[in-house]
Amino acid sequence: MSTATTDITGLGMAFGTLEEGRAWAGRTSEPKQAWFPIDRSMVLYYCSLVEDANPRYWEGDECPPGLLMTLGFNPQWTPEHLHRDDSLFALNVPLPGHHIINASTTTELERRPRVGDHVSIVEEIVSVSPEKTTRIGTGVFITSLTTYSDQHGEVIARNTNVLFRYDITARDTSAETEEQP
Amino acid sequence: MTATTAGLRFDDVAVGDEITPVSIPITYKRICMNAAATWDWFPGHHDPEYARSQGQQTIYLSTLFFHGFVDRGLGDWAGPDALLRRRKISMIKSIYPGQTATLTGRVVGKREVDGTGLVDLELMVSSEEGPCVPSEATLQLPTGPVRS
Repeated sequence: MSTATTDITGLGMAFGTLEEGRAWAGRTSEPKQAWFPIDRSMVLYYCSLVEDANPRYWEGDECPPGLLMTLGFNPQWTPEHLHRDDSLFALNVPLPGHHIINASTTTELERRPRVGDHVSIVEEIVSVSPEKTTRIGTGVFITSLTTYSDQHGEVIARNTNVLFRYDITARDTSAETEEQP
Repeated sequence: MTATTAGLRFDDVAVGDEITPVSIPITYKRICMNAAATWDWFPGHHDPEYARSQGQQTIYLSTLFFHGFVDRGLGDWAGPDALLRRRKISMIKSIYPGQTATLTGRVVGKREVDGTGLVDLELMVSSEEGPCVPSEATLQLPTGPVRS
């Protein structure tokens, strides 16, 4: 596996050894607030994407729960004095792999998200698996738990995400697995 | 008909019921919309060269698309009063431009918890290449008599 530390994704991934990465299990991020509250344009662009005609979104003030993960993404560029170095916590786990692909998400909702919710996000690294080889490469599964709360501290939802961080390796199908942790 | 009476109620649903299938054509435009609408600028979703470097055919749909697509299909079937309580998706195969994403599913369980009516579903997003995103969901449906 390459030891180069070039972030070819442009997402700010941290690099390190497998042992360094696995030691991150149990770490929790500082709370961060989304760049701005959920707004109507976000909701309607998202509904356009999946052609969702739900009147709660088009004629009401609710937000599709599928959009919650968006609130953790930072703008692609900011003026220097507004820069925040708090991209997805799972990408901060130092590991050898240069590629990522999401494997699964499990979202549990306490209430419907709404336009005007200014969401705060806390992320916990639940586990970093031993190294595994799948059909797309060799790497580890990072399981993280993200809690989304509103500006009043009320939990809106919790999302468990499993991300595969890997490098492409010569194919040896005898060792491949589709399993996740 | 108002939004509060348009959808399925807990008593309307039986184990084995199938949701109304939903299909959507996937184009380069929709995958670009996917990145822009969700702020997910991971290059696998907008840069074909990067996508191929990670072993993909070209750019592909993201997690957040599948969240919205699954939820849209559930809402189309159950109506706007259905409340999503839980959704799990697992991405086992990518979906690319030129393919069609189709959601199917069926009711696998019903239960009442603390006075709420919960319906459990098994779902699948498929393309012409076969199953891509096996999923599960739990919906809370209105119980009791229909309000006028």
